[in-house]
Amino acid sequence: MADTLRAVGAVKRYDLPGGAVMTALGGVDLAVTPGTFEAVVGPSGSGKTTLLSILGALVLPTEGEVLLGGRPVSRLRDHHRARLRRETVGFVMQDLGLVDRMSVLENVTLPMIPDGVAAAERRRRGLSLLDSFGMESRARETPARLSGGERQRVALARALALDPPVLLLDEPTAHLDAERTVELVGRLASLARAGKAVLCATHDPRLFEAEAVGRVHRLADGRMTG
Amino acid sequence: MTRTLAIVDLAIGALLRHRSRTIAVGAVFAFVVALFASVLLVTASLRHEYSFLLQNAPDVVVQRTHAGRPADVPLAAIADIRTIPGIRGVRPRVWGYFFLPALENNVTIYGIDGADRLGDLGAAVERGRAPRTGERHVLVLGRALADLLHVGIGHEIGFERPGGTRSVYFRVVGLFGSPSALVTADAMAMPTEDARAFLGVPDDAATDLAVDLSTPDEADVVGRKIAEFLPEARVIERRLQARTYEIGYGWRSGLLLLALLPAALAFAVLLWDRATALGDAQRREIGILKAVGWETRDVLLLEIAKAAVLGLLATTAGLAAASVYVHVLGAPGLIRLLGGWSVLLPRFDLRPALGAGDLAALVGTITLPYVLAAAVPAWRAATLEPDEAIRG
Repeated sequence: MADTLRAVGAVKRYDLPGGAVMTALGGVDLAVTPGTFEAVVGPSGSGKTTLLSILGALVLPTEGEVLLGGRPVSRLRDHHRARLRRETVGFVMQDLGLVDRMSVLENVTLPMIPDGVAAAERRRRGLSLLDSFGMESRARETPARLSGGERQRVALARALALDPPVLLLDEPTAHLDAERTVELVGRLASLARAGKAVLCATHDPRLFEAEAVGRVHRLADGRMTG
Repeated sequence: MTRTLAIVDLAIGALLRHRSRTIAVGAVFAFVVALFASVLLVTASLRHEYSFLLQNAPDVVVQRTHAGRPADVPLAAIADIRTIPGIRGVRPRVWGYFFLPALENNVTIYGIDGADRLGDLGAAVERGRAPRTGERHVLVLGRALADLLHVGIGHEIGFERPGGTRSVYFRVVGLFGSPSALVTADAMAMPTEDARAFLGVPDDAATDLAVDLSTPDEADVVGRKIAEFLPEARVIERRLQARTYEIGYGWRSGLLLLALLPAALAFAVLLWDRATALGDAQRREIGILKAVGWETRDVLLLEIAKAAVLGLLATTAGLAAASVYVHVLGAPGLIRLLGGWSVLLPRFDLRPALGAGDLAALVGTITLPYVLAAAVPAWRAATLEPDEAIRG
């Protein structure tokens, strides 16, 4: 099956104050294919978030390349990269990345705005998405008034707003209890069965040891170890 | 278009969500706009008044000074002046200022010889009639002045003659109106004989001479020739008068705007603060927008829309407040500063006369910089990688 997302020799270095350089990712190859549910695991500081950020085109690798939908991300202009991000990747950040000053519905419909979806249609699609997560009744609330699990569902609903083929989730179970974790894993597995490529960065065994997770990539000190 | 509307809609929503912050910033903004707009509105109204007065003024006015003081012009000079080529007519005018204690202001008394002479004021009798030829002790008043004095047609008014103690009585026979609020609040007209007697102008003299020219462009040449006939003449060309008014009001409003500089500086500091600093929450928000696929231009449009909506609302509110202060309340305080320091102006309605240029200047110097100041930090954050913007 063709890759939807592929990192080729991805290196990420950060300049630190005082001239020091920190290598967060030291040359990683990873391919994500449609219809799979995979996990990247590793201890804190191993480079999981950096890897996901690079795969999601939130940041460019210092060396190497990321191919998103077959297109080299680093050669794209900023607005093309934004469009590719919008159309190809649904991203759930570690802190969920919800805008606390906006309502739940506004958060969910944010990706639809640059796509030119009309207001009424945005509202309809947003409410429908929230409904599928059992959150329709909280549409007018701000994220600050929601529980961790509810915020997590809103973030996932937003990631699915434009029905992207790739879902990247950074520590998606961090805010969830055991019951909600099982529910999330089931939902992600279902999305993978529906054809999406799902990749989670996690150090939570409840997630990466779940039966539904097809493959686990191990990362340590910015390098793949298995 | 849908995309733009959606972003503007989101911007309005953001402003409404932060109501208290929006109101606080908007109030400061509107106050600064109101300060500057008040000066511009008063200046525009005064300019409108004097341009109307100049429209109806003769091409050349001949006055006379004696030993540096204003003096009457001898009527004998008229015959000499009429011989100068290019002169269409010479009219002696009798007029003068008269302090009305009841109003604590000067009014202007004009001598007229029939309704047609009201044309010099750009005014027309609207109620009642003008004084008839040969009639005495009657007068017509500007409508606003009549209101200020609480008099109407048929009423008798007694004035104490300037420098004397004897009161002279006049019957009001008409009220005149004019596109100039100043004229109707400032002027009264009476038969020339009455004006002479009241103001103490001798029968063989006039306050000044109004000279109409066949070719107004030749005013300076004619003026030089008049000075040859009448060595003490002070010749005032309409064009120079216009320039004097323009410089006078321009200088005064400029001086006042200069006095408002501290307010402008405080506002500039606010703008600078906005232009250089971006809160962590706002930068994170911009990072999130980019992470979910917003392009740099979308982020910029959102921030510009927020600033523009707030700026335009505050500008409108500031303009409205300034309009109430100037056109409803009569610009108390400001009108004395801008109207003149050596001349006592009557109370008169400042009519709206703000032009598109003034409005553009206001928006260009206050509103536009505010909007741009919002765009600069947003552009900085929006051009960062989403990950970098979110982490800060």
